[in-house]
Amino acid sequence: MNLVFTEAPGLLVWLASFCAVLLSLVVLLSANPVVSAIALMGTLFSTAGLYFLIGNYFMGSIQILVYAGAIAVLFVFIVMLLDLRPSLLRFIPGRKIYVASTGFAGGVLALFLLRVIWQQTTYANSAAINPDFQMTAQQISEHFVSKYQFAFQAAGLLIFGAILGAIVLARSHLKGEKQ
Amino acid sequence: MSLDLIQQTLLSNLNILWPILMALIVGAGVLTGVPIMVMVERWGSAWMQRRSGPNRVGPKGILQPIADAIKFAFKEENLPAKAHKWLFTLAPALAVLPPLVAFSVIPVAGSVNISGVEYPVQVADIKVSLLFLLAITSLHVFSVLCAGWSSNNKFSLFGALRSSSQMISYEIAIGICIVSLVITYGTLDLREIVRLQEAGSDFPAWGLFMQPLAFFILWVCSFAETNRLPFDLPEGESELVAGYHTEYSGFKFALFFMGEYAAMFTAAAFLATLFLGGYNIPFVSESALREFFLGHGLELTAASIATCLLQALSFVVKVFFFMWVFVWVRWTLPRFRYDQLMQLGWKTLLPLGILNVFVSFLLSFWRGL
Repeated sequence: MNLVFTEAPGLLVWLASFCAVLLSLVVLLSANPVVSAIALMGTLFSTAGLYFLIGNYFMGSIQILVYAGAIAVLFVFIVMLLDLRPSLLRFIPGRKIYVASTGFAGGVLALFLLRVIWQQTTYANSAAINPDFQMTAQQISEHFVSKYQFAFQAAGLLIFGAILGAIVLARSHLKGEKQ
Repeated sequence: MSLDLIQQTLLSNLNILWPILMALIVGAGVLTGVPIMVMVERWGSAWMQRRSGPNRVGPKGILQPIADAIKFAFKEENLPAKAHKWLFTLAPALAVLPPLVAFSVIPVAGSVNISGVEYPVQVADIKVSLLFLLAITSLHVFSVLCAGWSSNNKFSLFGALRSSSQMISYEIAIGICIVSLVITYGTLDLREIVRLQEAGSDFPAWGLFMQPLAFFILWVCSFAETNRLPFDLPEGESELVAGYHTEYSGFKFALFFMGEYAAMFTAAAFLATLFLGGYNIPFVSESALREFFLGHGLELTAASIATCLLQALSFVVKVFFFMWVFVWVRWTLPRFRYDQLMQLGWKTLLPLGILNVFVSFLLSFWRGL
């Protein structure tokens, strides 16, 4: 009987991880962009659930507030208005190259992630679930400007590049219409 | 398994069982409040418009909610021909879930003392409950968007777009007001905020007196967030039939209905917690109440439970005050035009909120000098 109570949080961790993986597969494999966007919300929500389960309520709340609540809403909003029919998306020129390169990059990333998880995981002895552990905003921002400064700046550059890319793509579309 | 062993197991695992018990009590409380509120709304509107209101089912029409529920349960479920089946089914569930989950971080009463340990009367007592509440309520948009898009109906889609842009706009004003509140209270913990508003026998130190402007803005925003009149454009009958839930019938529609009222309850509880002292009873502190009950021959556990019951009663009274104002406003004011709604949100409430943040920052800085 006692075992049920001590193991319950661990089971919830498995449930949240299962949901996150399943929903991210739906994001990738669904032919309907709206379903993908909603599943993305579900993935972010399950990840937030993982944060809650390791006792990091601040990160979990921020995850829901910023990603699931704001960014995913924008995704859904835009995708719904774009009228993207699955039949239109199937015939993008050079699709095979895109798929192959994305698959390769994703595979490499997944390999690194698995390595990190293998090395760092302390979940196995279930001691990682510590309800007293609560990371504050101050601690997180201190990490940003000290230990993880390079990653922080690199992520900023990456987003900057993505914004530039989006503008270039939109501009080329406009030029094509003028001709 | 003997009775002793069961009792021992329950006591030793109380830290896990307590939240489950609280979830059952709070969830049942909110879901029981919904039919009561529906009756209050129908009686209230009838009273304001000099009609009779529901008066046929049971004495004074008091069994009307049960009749409504039976009717909802037995109505035919309608699935439009080109609707997206999964999302169409998912949307009503998403309408009920966020308000109920958000209620889990709202402190309903003080704490109960069981064998020396204080258990807070709240489902989840977390340090960042204010942030959590904001985060969860922002998910309410998804049900509206899902419902509107998956119905494959122009009226539904228009209703969903109106509703979601309205909710997103007013969420910004809410966020700004929360910033000024956090400056005043210095914490994101709702239980701590309620404790700070406890003044004992002095004049109540409610948030209403510390942040009157934030209270006003949040109150107006709560009408827009719950899609109630005067901001119920997503459901404007004369333009959009019924907005995003036009295509829903039977129990799925009932879920949207329940979701709307549950969201009102959450908004009312949110306002009561932040501005009306939460579960505090004016002029009486929690320790004084407990002392009173201990002095009348109750044990510590029984005394703390009695204190909590009184505090929960005070909380429910405050929540129902706000719920009544929701009803009152709905049957008094006409609907805004859409541009007026957006102007109010972006050009009036948001600048006022930012001004309020500046003033509260300067005041707290002045006090700290």
